[in-house]
Amino acid sequence: MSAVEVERTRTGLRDAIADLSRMGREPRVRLALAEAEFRLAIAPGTEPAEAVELLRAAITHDPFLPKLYLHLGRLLHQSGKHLAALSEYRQAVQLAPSSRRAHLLLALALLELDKPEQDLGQTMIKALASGSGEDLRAAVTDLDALFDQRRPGGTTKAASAKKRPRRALSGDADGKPDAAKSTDIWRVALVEQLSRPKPLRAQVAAHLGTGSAQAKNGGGVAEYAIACVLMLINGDSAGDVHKLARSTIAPHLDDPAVRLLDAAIGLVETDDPAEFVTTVTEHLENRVLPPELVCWLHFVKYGPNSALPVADTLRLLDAYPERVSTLDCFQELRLAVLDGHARKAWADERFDEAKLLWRETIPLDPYRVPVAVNLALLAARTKSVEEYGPSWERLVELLYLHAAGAGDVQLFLNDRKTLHLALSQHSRQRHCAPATANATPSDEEIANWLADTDALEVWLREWDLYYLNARLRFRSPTHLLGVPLDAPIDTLAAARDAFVSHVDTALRGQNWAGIGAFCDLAAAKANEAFDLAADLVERGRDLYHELEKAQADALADESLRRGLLLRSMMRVLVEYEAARHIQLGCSIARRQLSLPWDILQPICADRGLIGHDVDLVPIFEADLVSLAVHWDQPKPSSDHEWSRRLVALDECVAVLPHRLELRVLRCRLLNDVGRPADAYSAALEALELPMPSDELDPAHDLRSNLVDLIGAIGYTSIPEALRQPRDIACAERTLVAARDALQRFPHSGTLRVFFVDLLVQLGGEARMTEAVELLTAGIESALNHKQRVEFETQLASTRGAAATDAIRRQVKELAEPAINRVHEAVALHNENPGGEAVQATLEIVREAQKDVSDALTVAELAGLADEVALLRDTLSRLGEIEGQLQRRAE
Amino acid sequence: MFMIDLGAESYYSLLGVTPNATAAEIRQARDGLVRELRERQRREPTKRKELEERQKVVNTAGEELARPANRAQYDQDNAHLRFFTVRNAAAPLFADPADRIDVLHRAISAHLNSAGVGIRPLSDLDRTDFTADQTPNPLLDERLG
Repeated sequence: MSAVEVERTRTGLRDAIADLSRMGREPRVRLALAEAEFRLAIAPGTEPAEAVELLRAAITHDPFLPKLYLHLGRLLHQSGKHLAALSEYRQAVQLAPSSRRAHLLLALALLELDKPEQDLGQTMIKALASGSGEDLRAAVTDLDALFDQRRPGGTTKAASAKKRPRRALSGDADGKPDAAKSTDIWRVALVEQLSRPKPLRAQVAAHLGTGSAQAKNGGGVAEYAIACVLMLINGDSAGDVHKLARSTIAPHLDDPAVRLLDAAIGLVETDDPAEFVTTVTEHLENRVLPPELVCWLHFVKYGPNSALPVADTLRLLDAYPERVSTLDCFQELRLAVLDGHARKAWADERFDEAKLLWRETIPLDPYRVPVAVNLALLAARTKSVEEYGPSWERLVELLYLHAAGAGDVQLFLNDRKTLHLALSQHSRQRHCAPATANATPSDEEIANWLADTDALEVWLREWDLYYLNARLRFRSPTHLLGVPLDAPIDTLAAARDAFVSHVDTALRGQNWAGIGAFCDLAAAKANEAFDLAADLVERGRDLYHELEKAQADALADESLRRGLLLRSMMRVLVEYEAARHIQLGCSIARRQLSLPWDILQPICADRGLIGHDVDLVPIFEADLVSLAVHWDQPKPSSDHEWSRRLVALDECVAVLPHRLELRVLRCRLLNDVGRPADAYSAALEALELPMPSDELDPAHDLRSNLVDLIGAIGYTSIPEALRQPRDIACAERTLVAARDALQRFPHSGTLRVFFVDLLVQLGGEARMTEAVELLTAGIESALNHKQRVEFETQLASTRGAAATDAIRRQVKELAEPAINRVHEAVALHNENPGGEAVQATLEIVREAQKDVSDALTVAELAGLADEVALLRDTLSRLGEIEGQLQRRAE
Repeated sequence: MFMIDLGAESYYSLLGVTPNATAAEIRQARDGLVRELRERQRREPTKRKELEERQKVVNTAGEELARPANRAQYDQDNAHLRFFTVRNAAAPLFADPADRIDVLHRAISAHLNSAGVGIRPLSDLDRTDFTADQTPNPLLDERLG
């Protein structure tokens, strides 16, 4: 069919479905709908996912049509969902018990599963090949029994299925199996036998006999030729295969399949490598043999298990012309040869050679996981310091990259889980007795382990990654999220957020290609799990919850042991009371807090480890705080050490951003290390955290500490020499410094108060005004109530001082000019003493007395004691001067 | 620098078997080692105590691994033993006999089909044309014309 015809057919079917859907639900319409949906599902160009949906829809319209289940199973089978396919095939067999097609597909699906299922599959194929309906029925009964054993509380559906009408699949007869048609199965049976590690020769011979008989009757020559090729592939000698083929298909030498067999036998019998290469090239160019077959034959004759040295095997591969050697399967052949020789070199402990050979495979496929495993093991075996890290990183990177590239976190999930668990166990066993992994390490073991930071970091990191992958493996949404089946929606949301955050923390920062995409996939899985679990109907339908419960409980148990061990480690670190353990403590705390304590706490309580009302998370947080308080022990002795302590406290704040204690410690360190501006900013940022409503909460004291620290930072930014000015000139310089400091640290209460005090002390209208403005601004921007009250109190007294200052100025303006005039007049008089001068001077003195008296009155009213005393004294002296002048005048 | 230690002894390495060994192979290995150790005890009486200890360890290892539940727990607790083994990096065609037969059968069938031979599919999994499975339906067919 051309593309146009295909599309026309599909469009026609879609239109028919739409039309029929509008016609109501009577049986004839439903049957027509089911057939339309079926035809569209099997039409060329229909994507598998769409086909599955169409078939499911068709089943709802006609649940008794076996072909729907058969084809649905086929699609699931082809997409790797063998268990799901099995279920559909079983339905098809139920409805059409004499269908060989359905039984064959059922058998093939069974062969893809575990050993018990594979055994049943083999039995079914044998029964199909022999045409024994009884054996077939017995195998199906055994299959039902196997499923019943595994299904919790399940019962076989066989009884209810008997009530359904049975309809044949096309091409099948009801009743006994068709003896003629059972000969079709010999090929499947032969392939199945040859796929076993130890094929049963008698069975193989029987199937070949069937094939031979069929070929001699004129049908199936090509199929028999292919069977002979498979025998050659399976290791039979060229002579034996020749004997097998000779009498049956020798008359059909023109048949391409027979020529293929002949060519393959010829290659096997070729002794000279160069001739082999030439012949292969000819056969490929003449399209006599497929490339995959010649690659296999080359591998057998001249691969790692041949007598050829590795250099010669590679030279032989190089002898192929480029148009051949660049074919995909020849690239795989080269890789297989290199790998085979590398593994031999490894077994013989020729490690340099093994490394060289495995590295040669990288240009052929840089993403081959087994090569990455082998190179990593090589680096470990040779204890190569420079290669160990990069090779293990590359391996892990590939395991995540493949999953990201395929858009499926399940890809290589078991490998990732096992690798991370293996590395974490290996790290643990370096210092802790391996006798029972469940036993708690002793204090001495923990201390030794803590001292080995490399090993400990590996354990911390790798167990987290193992845990995340173990969670992703669950198909039950509640187990994936790590919550109980009856968890309320807010618990589900919190669990989802915690899981996504854990993925981000543990993975997103890693420098691996594609890790961002992987994290997005994992987050999508968590969201999908949340959506399913949040829907109560879907949650009730969760088939996997019970099936996976044992694994989920085991993981919870492991998590609990991990959490308790982490706590033991933290307690040991706290006891050390030293700053150098803070960073490690952060690492431990981060892991502690990422565990699902909502689930684990009740388990702890049930086991009597804690009381039911104890909340462990604040206890873990307090442990980190207890560790961090020793940040200055011992006092850092170098810039490098200061930096390290700061990095450690930065991390503490990152782990517990809501804990004010850690922020206070960090601010102190910043200030001590000579970064007051940073300390100031950090303190302000800390004060923006929500305030506790409980007034007795210790956080209030911590906030006061931060306010005091901010105050001190501002005050100490004034040079020490200017903090206690001894004269006016110095005070003026202090004012400038204080003004500048307040620009930089406007929230420093101590600085602001100091500045205001100095302004008031120096006096003057402008300074008083500035002081009032500073305090008004301070009230608006006060960091806490205490600071606000302080500013308000000071403002009141400053206003008073400002008023007094004004009066002082008024007194001064009254008295000073008068006193100056007296001094000038007396000086003139002393130069020219005479009658008129005396009178004039006397006038001036009397006027001055009046002014000074007025000033004295103002000073007395304002209570300015100093000024009053001075003015009285001045008046007294003016009186004496008046007396003297009067005597002279007389 | 932390490195995994591939030389660390396990129950498997003690018995000289791979982590994939069957229970029968494990029992055989244990019995062989015990026999050997007993002979050595007879030949080297001065080392008797040491050899007896070794025999005890071999017996313990054999007992643990021969019992499926114990072995499963041991494997779970020592996941690295299975993981840290050199792997076959070749494509399934070269690495796995079962896959090889399947891959080559498909390749040969496809090759011959492209040459016009028309090899019958082994099963429905190898087919693409299912027109024969359509069932006539008057109500549908009249709409399809």
